[in-house]
Amino acid sequence: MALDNLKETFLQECTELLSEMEAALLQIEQDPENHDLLNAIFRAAHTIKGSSGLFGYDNIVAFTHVAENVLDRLRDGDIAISGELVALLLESRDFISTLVDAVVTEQALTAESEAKGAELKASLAGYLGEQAPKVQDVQELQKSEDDRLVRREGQYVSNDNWHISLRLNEEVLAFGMDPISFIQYLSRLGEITHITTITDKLPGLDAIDPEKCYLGFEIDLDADTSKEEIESTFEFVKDDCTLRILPPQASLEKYLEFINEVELPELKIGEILVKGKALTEAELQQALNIQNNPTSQSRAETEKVPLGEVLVQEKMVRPEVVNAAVKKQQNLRTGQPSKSIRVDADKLDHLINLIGEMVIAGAGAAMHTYATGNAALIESFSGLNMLVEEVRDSALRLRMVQIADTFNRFQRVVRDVSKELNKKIRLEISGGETELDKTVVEKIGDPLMHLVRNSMDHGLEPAQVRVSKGKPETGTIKLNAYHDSGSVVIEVSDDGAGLNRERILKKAQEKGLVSVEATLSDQEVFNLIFEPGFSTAEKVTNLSGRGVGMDVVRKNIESMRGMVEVFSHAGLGTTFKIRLPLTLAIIDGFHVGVENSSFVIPLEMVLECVELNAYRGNVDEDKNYINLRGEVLPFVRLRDLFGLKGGGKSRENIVVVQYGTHKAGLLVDQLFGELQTVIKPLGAIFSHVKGVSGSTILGNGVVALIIDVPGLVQEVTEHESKAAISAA
Amino acid sequence: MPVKQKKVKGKSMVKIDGEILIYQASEVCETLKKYLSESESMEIDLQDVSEIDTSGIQLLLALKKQAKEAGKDVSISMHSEKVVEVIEMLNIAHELGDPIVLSSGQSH
Repeated sequence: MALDNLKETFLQECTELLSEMEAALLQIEQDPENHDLLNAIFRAAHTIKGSSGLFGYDNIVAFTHVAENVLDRLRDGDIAISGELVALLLESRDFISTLVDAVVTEQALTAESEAKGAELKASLAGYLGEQAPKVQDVQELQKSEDDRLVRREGQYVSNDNWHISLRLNEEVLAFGMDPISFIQYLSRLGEITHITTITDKLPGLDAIDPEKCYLGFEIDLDADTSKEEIESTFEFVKDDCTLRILPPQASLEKYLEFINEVELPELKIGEILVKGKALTEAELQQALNIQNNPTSQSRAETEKVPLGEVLVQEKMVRPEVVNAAVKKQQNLRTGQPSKSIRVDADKLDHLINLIGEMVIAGAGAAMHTYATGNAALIESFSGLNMLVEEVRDSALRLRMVQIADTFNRFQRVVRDVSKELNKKIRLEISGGETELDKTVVEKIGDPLMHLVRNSMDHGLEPAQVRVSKGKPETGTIKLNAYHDSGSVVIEVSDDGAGLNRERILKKAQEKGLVSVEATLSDQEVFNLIFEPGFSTAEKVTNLSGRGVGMDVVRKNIESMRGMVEVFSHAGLGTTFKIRLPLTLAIIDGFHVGVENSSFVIPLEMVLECVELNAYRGNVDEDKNYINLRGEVLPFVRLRDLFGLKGGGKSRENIVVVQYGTHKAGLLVDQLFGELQTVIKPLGAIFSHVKGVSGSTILGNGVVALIIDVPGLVQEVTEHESKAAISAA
Repeated sequence: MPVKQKKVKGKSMVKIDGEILIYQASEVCETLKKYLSESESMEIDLQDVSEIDTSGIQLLLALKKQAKEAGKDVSISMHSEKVVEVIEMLNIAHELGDPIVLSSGQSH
C-alpha cells in the first residue's frame, strides 16, 4: 500500500536527518562559531518537524518545535553554545529518534519515555527564557522600512498575509498525498484567512478519473513564518506540484508576475486575489496598469538581469525573500545537491549475479573463440571481453561503500564513553574514504565497537596516571583504513599503556593454554588474548552485556575471510590490525592442477611460482619446507591435503602465496595460468572443509575449487610455530 | 462505502455510508454514474459519511458538474460533520450550492 511506502520514506529521511543532526552537534562543540553547522542542525530539526506534521504525528511536531526554537535562538546569537546545551540537544535528538521509532512501530511511549520527554522539554524551555521578540523586532524594522518605501514609491502591497498558490500534478493522489493534509498543516502554522479551490480542470463524472487530482488552490495565510517553513510543508510533493509563494507586503511587480504566470484568466485570478484580500482593488488596477504600460527601459533591463537582483537593487523586495527564491531555484536542501539514488539491495545483488554468469559464459566463449583461430573473430571477441571486464568491475564497485559513516558513528560513542569512564579521550579518524563491500561494512561494526571500547576501558590510563608518565592528559584512539594488496586493512590504535605481557602469559599458563616451559615471542603472547575463555570480563556495561569477547571478535572477522592481529608496546599503546577481503563475488585467480583436479588460487595472494626440483637439494625429503633464497618457506601438499591419489608427477611446482605478513607454499602439479572467475559459494555441508573457500566453473565446464589461502596460511604458520614451541 | 438507492416518484434517493476515500473512489464513481444516467433528479444523503478525502470531494464536484451539463438536478440533502469540515476547509460550499444542514443529534 502506498501508505506503507510513505512511512518507510519518512523513517529513512528522519534517520538520515537525525544522523546529520548528531554529527553536526558533535562538531559544534569544537567549532562554536560555525554558522553552517548551526544552520545544518536547525534545518534538520525543521525538516523533521515538517514531515511529521504532514503525517499528523503531532507529538513529534510538538517536541521538535521546542527544540527548534532553542536552535533558532542559537542561530540568531541570542544564546551561546555550551557543553551543557550540546548535551541537552543530543539528548533531545535521541528523544526525537525514540518518538520516530514509536510512531513507525505504532507503539505507545512508555511512561518512562513520556517523563523523559517532559523533562527535556522543560530543560529546553529554560533556554528560551522570555520570548525575546528579536525576530519580530527585525520584522517590525523591515515593515517600517517598507512603509517608508511604500510611501515613497507606492510599489508595495499593503497585504500582511502570505499568498500561496498550489497546483498539484494529477498523480499526487495515487502517490498517497492528499492536498487536504497540506492545507490542514498550513492552518497550524497560522490562520488561513481565505482559500479558493480552483476546479477549472475538473471534468464531469463521466470523464473523471477518480484517482487523479484535478484541484488547485489559492490560499491566503496569516502567519508569522518564513518562506522556507511554508515550502517545507510541501516537501513531499515538491516535485509534483507548482508552488508559488508571495510574502506579506510583496512588491506589486511580484504580484504581477504571479498573475501572468498562473494559468487562469487575468480577471479571474485578479478576482481571487481581491477576494482573499491579497490585493486591494486599487492595487490590482495598478498592477494591470504597469502591465499594459511598461516603462520601456525597466522592462528591457529586467529581462536581462535576474529579476531577483533588479528587485533587490530597486529595494522592491526584501533580500531575505530573494534569497529564498534563489535557493529554491538552485535546489539546495542542506547545501548539497543530491548525487545519489536509492537502489534496492536485492536488485543490486541480482545484477551482480547476472554479471557473474556473464563472466563465466565469457570464459567459455573465449576458449571456443581462440580454438577457431579466426583472427577477426578473436579480435572482436577481445573487444567484447574487455567490456565484460569493465562491467564486472563497475558492478562490484556499486556495492562498495566508504567506511567513513561507520567510523563517524564512533565519535558519539567515544564522547559518551569517555564521559562515562571519566577519562578525556579524543578520536582521530583517517582513511574514511576507503571503500569496502557493503556487507563487510555492516558486519565489521560490532567487532570494531568492541575493540574501541576495549581500548578506552583497558588500554587508556586514567588522566592522572597519564600525566604522571609525561603523556598528554587526553588519550587518543585512532581509526585508520587503507587498501593493501587486495585487502582492506582497518586499524584501531590507542596511545595507552599497551598490553601487559606478563599478565597475559600468566593467565594463559593458569588456563593451561601454554606450558610453563615454553618460550614465546612477544607477538605470540599478545595473540593469546584472542583465545576463547580469555576475555577480561570485569565490567558488564551496556555493550559488553552482549557477551562479546576477543575470541568472538576474531571469529566474526574470520567468518568474513579476514584476520586480526594485535601489536603492542608497553607504555606506548596498542594497535589492532584487521585485514578483510576487498571483493566477495568475482576474483582474478590462478588456475592449477593436482592429479586430475582443478583448483583456483586467488591471484592477489600469489607471489611467485617455483619448481620443486630446483629447490629440492636443500631440504629433507619428508619435511615440508624449502629454502627460498635464504628464507624458510613452509608448504602444503595439496595432493595430501585433499587426498588425491595418483602417481607422483615428475614435475611438481610450488605456488608461493602471501597473506598479511605470512608466506607459505602450495605444492601442485600443473600450472595453467590466470583467469577471472565467479565465486560460487559452497553449500553449508561443506563449510567445515578445510582449505576450500568456494567453487567456480571453468570455461570448459569443469568445476574447480577455490583454495582458502588465508586459512591454509594460518594453519601452516600455526603448525610451524607450535612445532617450534614443542620442540624447544 | 455502501451506496444505496431508493426510487421515490422517479427521483433517485442515494445514501452513502462510511468512507469515501481514494480506495472507494472508483466504485462510488461508477455507481453514481449509473444512478445518474437512470434518472432526471437525485438527492444525496451524506449524513453517515465517516471520512472523505480529495478524491471523494472531487466526485461530488464532478457529479454536480455532470448534472448541470445534462440538465439534471442533483442536490446533497444531508451532510455529516466530516463532510462539512472538508467543504468548509476547501471553501466549496458555494460551488456545490447546497444548503448545509446537520441532522439533529450532531453538534457543531
